[in-house]
Amino acid sequence: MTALPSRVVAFATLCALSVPAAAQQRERTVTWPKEVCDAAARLPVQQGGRVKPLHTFAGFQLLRLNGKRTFTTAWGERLTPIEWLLDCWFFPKQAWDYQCIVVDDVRVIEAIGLPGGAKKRRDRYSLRELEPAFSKLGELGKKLEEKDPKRRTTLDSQIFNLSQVVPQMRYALGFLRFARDPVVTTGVKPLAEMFPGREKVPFLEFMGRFAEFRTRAEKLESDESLRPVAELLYFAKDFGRYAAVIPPPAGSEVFSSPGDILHAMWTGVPVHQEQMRWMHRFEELVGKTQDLEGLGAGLVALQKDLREAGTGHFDYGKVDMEVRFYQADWFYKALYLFLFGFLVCAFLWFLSGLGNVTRGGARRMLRLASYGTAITLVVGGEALLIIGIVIRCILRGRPPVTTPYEVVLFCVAVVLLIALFIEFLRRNVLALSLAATTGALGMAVAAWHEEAEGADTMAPLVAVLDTNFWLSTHVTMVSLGYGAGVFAALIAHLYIFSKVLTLFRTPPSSGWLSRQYFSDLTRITYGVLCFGLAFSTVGTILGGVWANDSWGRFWGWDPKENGALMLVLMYLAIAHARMGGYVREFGLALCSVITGIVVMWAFWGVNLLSIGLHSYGFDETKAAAWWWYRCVEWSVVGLGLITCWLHRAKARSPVSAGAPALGESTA
Amino acid sequence: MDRTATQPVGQAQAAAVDRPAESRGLIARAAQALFDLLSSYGLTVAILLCLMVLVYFGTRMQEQHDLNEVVKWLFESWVCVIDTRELGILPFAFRWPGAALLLSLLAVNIICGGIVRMKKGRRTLGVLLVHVSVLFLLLAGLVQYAWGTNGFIKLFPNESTTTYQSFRDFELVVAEPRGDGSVREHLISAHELLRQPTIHGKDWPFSIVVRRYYGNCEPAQSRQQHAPDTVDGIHLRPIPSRQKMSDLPGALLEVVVPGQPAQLGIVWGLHRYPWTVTVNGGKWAIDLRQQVFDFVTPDGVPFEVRMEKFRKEFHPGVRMARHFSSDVTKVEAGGEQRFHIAMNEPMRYAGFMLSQNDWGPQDGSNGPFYSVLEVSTNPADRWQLWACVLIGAGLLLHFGSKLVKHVNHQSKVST
Repeated sequence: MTALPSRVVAFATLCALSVPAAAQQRERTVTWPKEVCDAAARLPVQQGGRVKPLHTFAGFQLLRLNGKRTFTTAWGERLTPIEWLLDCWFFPKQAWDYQCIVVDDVRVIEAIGLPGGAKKRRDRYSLRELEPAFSKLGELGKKLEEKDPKRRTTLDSQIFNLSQVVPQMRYALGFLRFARDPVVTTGVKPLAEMFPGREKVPFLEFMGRFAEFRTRAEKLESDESLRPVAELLYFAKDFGRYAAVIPPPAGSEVFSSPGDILHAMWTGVPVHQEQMRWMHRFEELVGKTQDLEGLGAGLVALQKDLREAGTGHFDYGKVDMEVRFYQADWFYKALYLFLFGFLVCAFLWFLSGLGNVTRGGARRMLRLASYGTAITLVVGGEALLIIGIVIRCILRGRPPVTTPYEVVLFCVAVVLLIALFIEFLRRNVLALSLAATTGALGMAVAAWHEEAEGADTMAPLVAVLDTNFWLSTHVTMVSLGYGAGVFAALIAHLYIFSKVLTLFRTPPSSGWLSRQYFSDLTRITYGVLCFGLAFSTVGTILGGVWANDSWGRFWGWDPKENGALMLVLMYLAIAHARMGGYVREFGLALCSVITGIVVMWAFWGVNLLSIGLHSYGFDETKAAAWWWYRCVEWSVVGLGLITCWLHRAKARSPVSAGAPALGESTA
Repeated sequence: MDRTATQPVGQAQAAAVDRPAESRGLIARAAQALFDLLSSYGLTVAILLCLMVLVYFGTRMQEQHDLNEVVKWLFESWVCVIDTRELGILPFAFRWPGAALLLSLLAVNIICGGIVRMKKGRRTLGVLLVHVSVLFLLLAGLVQYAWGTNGFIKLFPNESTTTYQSFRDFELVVAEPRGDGSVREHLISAHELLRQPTIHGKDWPFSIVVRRYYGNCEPAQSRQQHAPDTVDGIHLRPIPSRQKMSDLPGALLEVVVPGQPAQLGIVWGLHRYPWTVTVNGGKWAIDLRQQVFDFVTPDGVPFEVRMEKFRKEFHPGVRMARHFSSDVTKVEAGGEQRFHIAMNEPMRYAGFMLSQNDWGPQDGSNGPFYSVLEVSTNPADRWQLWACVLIGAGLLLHFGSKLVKHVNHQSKVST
């Protein structure tokens, strides 16, 4: 048995063994009842060092496979993550045809020896479609695993990713095989002796007498009839490791997967009675797949019993809260509000340009109504964002800056508060528009980050980060410094693009594109940069103080430390250059765009170097995004320089001699 | 940052120029020009931008080189060479001011421009505080660099030690035999070995000539028994340095006794036994080992550190450290004192800081486990924290007052 081939080859074997060739089978004909989904969503599962609800587990599994948290079947049924996972567990034949594995490039499919056919460049595939290429995919995946991630091409990375997610889906489908597939005794002598008169024996019953079976089987030197039993044992044990859903006995905090339990039974290690009872509960559930009502009632009862059993072992209250948190989808709702807010702001710009919207004008009422709507939408989005962050903090018991994903959310929330404060002071729609834009962009980046990672964003922290004091001081302050840099860069973009427009039209005396408008933008930019300077400087030095306590040295020239230092240096250089008169409006805008690049380098760029104490590993998708970001931003800097030069030339030309001086807009 | 907060650009210089030029000699004018340069915003910006470039390349170079090498080349040097070819950025190498030079210039710039030249008043109090604190921070770094030590101890429970070892610095030990059976150790740091080709000890009957020294090497069998630099068929093979922490230096030494044939020997960082040399009937031992420091209080009282208990916890179901800590006892002539050391909770005593660094063996065994504690001494241990507090206060004062002023102004405009 130990000589069985690798997992990937095993999948192929299993496919041949267990999955019928019939296409588009639909075993479940009615939708999952809501209460069943609610109960299943609250089943506790331990993964990555923490107990989480099955809802979270299923959500990230589906996100990684499908690129989003929902899946629509061929017959148009839109499944939530938990419905998808229940289908995988209880109706694997049906899920075998689910086209939920997203492939970004059809060349990946061709590379593993399948025809691209009528599929689109980016399309979704089912296991049935990919089945003929399992072996080749496994081989390619193994080769690419040994290849340096930095040397992988985009295609390589996509093939490697597919080689990772296909087994993941296979494990989901085979998870309850220990409960579904009985052991066939016909033709197997030891089994026939152990279970006389019975053709099929439940797998767990068989495992209960595995020691006896082993003794009897060892007497047979080589019997081909044992092969199906060995294969079933191997696959049930292996696929059973998909999820650790069996709660620990008293005195332990480590959950077990059915695979772990089966392995213990196989090796003769005693299994706790309590854990065996849970195994049998899953077995009972699988037996009810023909009766969805019965299955639903069983799931509800299981969840209820697990909740009671969990008392004392893990904080079940947070499981409930986490389910509600993900179901509420605070951040996506906030994203929509910011997008609508941005549209209303754009309408306001169109309607009246900039200026004090609360005063005068023929369309005063309409402007006021639009302004009120925009304020409501942006403030509403900010409220949802803050609520989501607060719930995350409660769930984790940590400040909201423990992962890059959280840092993005936190920075967006704080930047929006600053923008709203500025809007409160100035009331000219400018800061409000910037707030809506920042909110929409920030939430989109957070969503992209979550999708690109495809992994739990509430993972436990390593020992050195186990300090709420330093997290809430150093990390929070540095994050605020990063956020301010990005916000300043965003305003600077608006400044540069607006300046480009003024090349083609005469600036009005007031409102949008007027001198006051540019002056306002510069003031806001400088204020935000000063905010960033203060927080970055103090936060970075605090990081050194933390490092001194943790590692015995204040400064180690680690890439992450260097990134933060570069940002501080940039802020200081800008502040002193402005004081010294080396940069004015245009110069400040250009420097702010560069500050944005420095922030991104400090936040993401250094992680991609795969060196140092803060490295989170190389990611080809993020590396590509980082490359494109730099290209675009340096192009904006170039555009700004050209525009600046053209403005100066225009100011010197005789035609514009009588026009307002543009001295303020020169760098 | 705000050294001419109330006057337009160049006004300070103009004020200097207003003085009667006739009354000043050439030297005074040159000194004034130098002061103007050293206190200028232009120099500040130039230094900060140069530092940015240095830090950027210092980070990128870590992709190709060991961190400690990069630190030595770029951040502990006056002038460095940045080779952008190996990074694939530009097709040439160029000279650039090192961090030592840039930080020194920055300190001078802060003193001249940010303290001496800057207008003093209520409005500039915050900035002045920041400038003074930044100087204090730089001074703290200098003190740590010049007088700080860094090393580790590795102890199993119930083990104790009175010394700690350097992580990466080695020293040559020459053990002189004494008549009573004890030995007297003469220590020569590895840096000295590099600087001095010949070492003469006080009252030594011999001198040591350093024929070869490699920062990272391993002993290897020579094909020819009597090849140059070979001792008993063994020579030292240099290895490119990748991880300074695991680098093992080695040296080919020659003991020269006047009137006698020279004796050739090899010392290597991982040799279990020293090289023994017999000179005038006395047996001397020569060894290359990690630098050793004693646990001694500032009053000269030695003390011992005993490991009582080591705990480690993983997050359930994964091999990710959740918590690890050590209980140690400090044993001194005056008595014993217990300390608990965990991540982010170091032990501080008599200028020593012991922090939880690592543990082992991490081979999946069930123990017993040893705990690795990092030991550092830094006379400026808490200076950075004080500097941070002062900088924070200064920035808060400066930007806070500006913000309040701005808000008041906006309120007036609105009404």
